Amino acid sequence: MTEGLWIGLTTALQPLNLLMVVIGCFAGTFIGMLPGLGPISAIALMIPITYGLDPAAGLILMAGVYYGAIFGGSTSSILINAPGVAGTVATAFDGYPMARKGFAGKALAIAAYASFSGGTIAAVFLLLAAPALATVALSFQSPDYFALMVLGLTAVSAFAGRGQFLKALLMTVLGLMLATVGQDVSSDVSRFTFGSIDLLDGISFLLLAMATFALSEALMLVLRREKPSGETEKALRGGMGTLALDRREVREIAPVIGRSSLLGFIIGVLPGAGATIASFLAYGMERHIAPAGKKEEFGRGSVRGLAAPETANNAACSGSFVPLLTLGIPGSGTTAVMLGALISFGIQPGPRLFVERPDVFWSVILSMYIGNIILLVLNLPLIPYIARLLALPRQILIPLILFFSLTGVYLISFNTFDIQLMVLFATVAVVLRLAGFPMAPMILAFVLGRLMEENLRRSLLLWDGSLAFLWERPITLGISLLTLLVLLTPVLQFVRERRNRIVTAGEGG
Amino acid sequence: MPLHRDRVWALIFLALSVAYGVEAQQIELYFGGEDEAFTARTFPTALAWTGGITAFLLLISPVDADPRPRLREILGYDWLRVGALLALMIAYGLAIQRLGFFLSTSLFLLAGYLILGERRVWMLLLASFPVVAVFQFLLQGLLGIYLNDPFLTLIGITG
Repeated sequence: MTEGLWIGLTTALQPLNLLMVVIGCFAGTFIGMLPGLGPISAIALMIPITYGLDPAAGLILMAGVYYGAIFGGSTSSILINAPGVAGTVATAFDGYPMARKGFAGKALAIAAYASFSGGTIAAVFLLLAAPALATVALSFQSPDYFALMVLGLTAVSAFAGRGQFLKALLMTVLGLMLATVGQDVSSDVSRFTFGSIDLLDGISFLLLAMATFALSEALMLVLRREKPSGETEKALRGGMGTLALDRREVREIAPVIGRSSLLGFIIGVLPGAGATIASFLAYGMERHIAPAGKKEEFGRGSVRGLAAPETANNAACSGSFVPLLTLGIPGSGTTAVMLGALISFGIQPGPRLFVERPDVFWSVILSMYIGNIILLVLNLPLIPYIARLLALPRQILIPLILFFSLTGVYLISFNTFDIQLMVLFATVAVVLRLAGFPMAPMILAFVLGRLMEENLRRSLLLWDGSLAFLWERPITLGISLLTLLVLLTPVLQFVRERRNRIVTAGEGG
Repeated sequence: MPLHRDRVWALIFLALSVAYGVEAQQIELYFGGEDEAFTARTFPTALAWTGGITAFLLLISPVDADPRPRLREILGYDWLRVGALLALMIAYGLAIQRLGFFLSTSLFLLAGYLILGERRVWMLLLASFPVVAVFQFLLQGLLGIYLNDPFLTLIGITG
């Protein structure tokens, strides 16, 4: 491990890789600030650039963008009450009231310190947990991987939100269906290509990610007539106030950061949960355990209420790298996009990554520390200036996003069919978004589709066509039971709610 | 009584799953492949069934709210501009190889700004041609990505 750490450190500290972290953090902060554009779009927009880099530098850039986007989302939550990403919705609960009271600078500073601490503490957990889990995962076989992927996809659907389970599940199936388009890897037979040569290689992951996130999110901004720029200008005109925290505030947020880091990391490791759930849980937990006087401050500019979700969402980001790096199975849409990019580099994340590519494995983990330091030291003082970029008129910004998305895909394939296909997918994505279908399960399933089919193929061949592989090995049985539990949770929740409603109606009538 | 939005979507997904399942059965197999434990049809067939069952569950699951107010809200969105942008993107895809990267992209940006309401001429010109020129210089000059550009060749900028 020490040797790996050293390799990772020397890789992460190479001037090019340091530059990648800096660029990633800035680009991520800017894109994350734009309401409507989340970290998945931010990373997807960066992928064409990473193709010219070596895998370690590419992944470092994407990790920087991820952190930056979460931090940028917090900034727009605090300044204009418009969270750029779902993971920073809870930040607005107390961050925005603080900014309205004239403490925007202080709120941003708390967000930055909390993000830094959460990210750093969680990166230590990652440093300890990832190699241990990778060692265990080395004993995994195809049935275990298949069962794990089913668990991951089911969990992402189950955590999609109230009443969204079936819709998320349908999007998962849609993602898997799209992954089957093209030549079958094992038999070379073409499937669902409808005679088109352009579809023989399958649908490009980058194309799908760009179309369903960057393009469709930009189109949604136009559709809803959202104007983020005006609000930002107004917020910036009001001034930032001081960035410094006093000793009392530091003492107040320190234990909150400790608790929320642990909670965020654990939630982040779980497939499907991620930054959004972590931030809400941390906020709820802190409000629950706060002393009576402090409890009333929640929602009105509480420093605890701001520090908790900010710490937890960053810790969850680090946590979500655990299943990606050790099992090769992403737990969220964002890490799924990263997996897709890694596969394009010819690297298969999983337990062997730890042994075969220690430079990639460790440099990514260590670049998370560096990324956090950059966010704190460089981004925080520059926030007022970065936020000014948001004042760029919407009518200029959106065509530029469309341009970067389209050319990002076109410049890889030089095939105009890809542009038309992107438009088609973006249109379908907009319609599905309006109907309340989440996109993240679809992209996650798409990335996992081929791996899942391959592991199912091996399992069925080994077990002579029998599904008994799902329960004959203890590890697979455990994972299968967990999947069943996750599947049943929304059903039980629904039954309980229905029973409560009947009881309430009975009492009322 | 109008059909609830979610039920309509359930029917669409059900139809999609059936069509996908039918198409899956058309996938060619090698001679004797039907008897193998796993073929190119196995996974798609399983997906068709999973999709169909899930769509059916969505179809029969109870729905809460009346969808009509939401529909009114959706109809009030800026569909015209989005439609124009989509058409512009399709046109860009058709033009990029004929007109070349520089001209087609500059015109794409220019039209995009106009569609979204930008009317300042200096802004329109500054944020299109120079932006693409810098981008193309970065691509070709620094990253070494070759871009076939008939327009720039015609006016003698590239060889």
